[in-house]
Amino acid sequence: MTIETVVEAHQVRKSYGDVDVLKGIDLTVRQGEVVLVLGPSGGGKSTFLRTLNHLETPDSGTVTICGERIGYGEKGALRESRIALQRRRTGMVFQQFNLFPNMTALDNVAAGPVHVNRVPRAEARAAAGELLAMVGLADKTGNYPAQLSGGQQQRVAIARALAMRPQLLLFDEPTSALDPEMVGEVLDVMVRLREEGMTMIVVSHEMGFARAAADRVVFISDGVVVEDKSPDLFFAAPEHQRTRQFLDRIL
Amino acid sequence: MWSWEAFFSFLHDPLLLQGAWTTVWLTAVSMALALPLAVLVALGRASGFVPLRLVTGGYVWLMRGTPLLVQLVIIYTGLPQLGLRLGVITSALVGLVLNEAAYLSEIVRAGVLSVPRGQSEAARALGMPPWKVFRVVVMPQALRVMVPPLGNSFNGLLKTTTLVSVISVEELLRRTQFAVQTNFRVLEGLTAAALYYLAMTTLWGLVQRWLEARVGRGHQARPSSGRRTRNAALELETR
Ligand SMILES: Nc1ncnc2c1ncn2[C@@H]1O[C@H](COP(=O)(O)OP(=O)(O)O)[C@@H](O)[C@H]1O
Ligand SMILES: [Mg+2]
Repeated sequence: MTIETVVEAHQVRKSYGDVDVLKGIDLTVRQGEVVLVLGPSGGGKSTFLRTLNHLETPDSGTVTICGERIGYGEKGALRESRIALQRRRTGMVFQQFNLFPNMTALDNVAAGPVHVNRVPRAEARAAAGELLAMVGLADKTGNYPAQLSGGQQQRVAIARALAMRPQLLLFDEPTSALDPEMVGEVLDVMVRLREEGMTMIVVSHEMGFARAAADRVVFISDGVVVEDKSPDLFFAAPEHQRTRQFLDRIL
Repeated sequence: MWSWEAFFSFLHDPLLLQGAWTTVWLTAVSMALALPLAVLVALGRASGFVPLRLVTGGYVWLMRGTPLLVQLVIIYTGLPQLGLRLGVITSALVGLVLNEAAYLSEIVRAGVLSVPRGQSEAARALGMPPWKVFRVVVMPQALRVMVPPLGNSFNGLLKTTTLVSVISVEELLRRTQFAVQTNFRVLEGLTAAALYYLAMTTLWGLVQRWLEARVGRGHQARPSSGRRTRNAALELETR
């Protein structure tokens, strides 16, 4: 059996004005892997995650998802409408959920298939209902986001991303905006996705999740990858001073 | 002396009724044409292409900086001097649409800016192309913010159309002035006209309420647990 590479990021750089946020990041993620990204605030984790689906355009370097270079075709930079097609392979879950407030939970989940893949609405809604049941929200399909708790909203957001049948899911601090008692219900869904073989890159400081579900921990600080290893090795024997300082603060 | 008889005969006068109808359709057509133009102008003003930004910005500056009455007279009476002769109704529509679109573009702009960035990002992350992001996600949410001021604009436009009487469009005011000339019952005639305007704006008010409820879907909903609200209240107290 061949192990397929899903993400291949090579020397990704990005600056805002004269602030170098990403200083050449390399990352390879294979199919079914769960990579946890850790690092101090402002270190460039979100920026890097966003370059993976070209919400942020890197200044240089390459991002390849499932063998396809993101943002560039044979004739150079792609137009936004072409990049949109590439983004269908990658789902994203945001810290603030970013559900569409004017749509019910069901229509939030159906939005991608209906408006991107032109699936008939009835069919998309049926599939959305199944996904909501999968994340434990079968009884909330008709609720608007404002009628849901944070944990429920984030589960809807995960279902919305899954509705596009992505090859890769990106999570940017999915539990940071949640009240503590709701963190578990979201992490449970993510652990289940891992068991089903979903490839995931997760920016999170949930150490429980890191130990239970991560195949690798990548530590990003000041725009570079400082460590990239298994959770056991990472927590037991961090090589760098910066990593130790960070771990001392959060553990 | 006030004559009820004259007043009621004005109320029933087909001259006034037809005039009121002209007022209504002039307003509706102007609004319907001005709104898409306003969206284009708002997009132009937000564009990264500088010449487009300058042209649309200049247009809004010109329209908002000069009286509609002057614009109408220029279009109807002035332009023929340059060989451009527009009919009465066309002149009125051109003037009303160009003028109104400038004001509406500001409403559209504020509406679009009110939609949080995270919304368009979530839509883009799903793979929506730019125009879908705008039409499916940004515009419906911008509309919620835009409908109240747009409704007020419609109300204002119903009354602003009186200005086109000056270039001899036979809308409600001009028709009333004609009707009054037969018996010189100015007070009764214009009171009847005022009542017509009041009826139109009141009816529109009801339509507006219905529209606002429609675009507000999802927003009036209260969190079922009330937990977030309580937390927010706590935060306020501790500040
Ligand atoms: N759009 C932007 N414009 C300017 N600076 C930005 C922008 N986005 C992020 N930054 C800066 O880039 C740095 C990295 O941010 P971010 O990727 O959000 O870090 P992290 O997610 O690790 O906390 C921060 O210093 C932040 O202020
Ligand atoms: Mg971040």
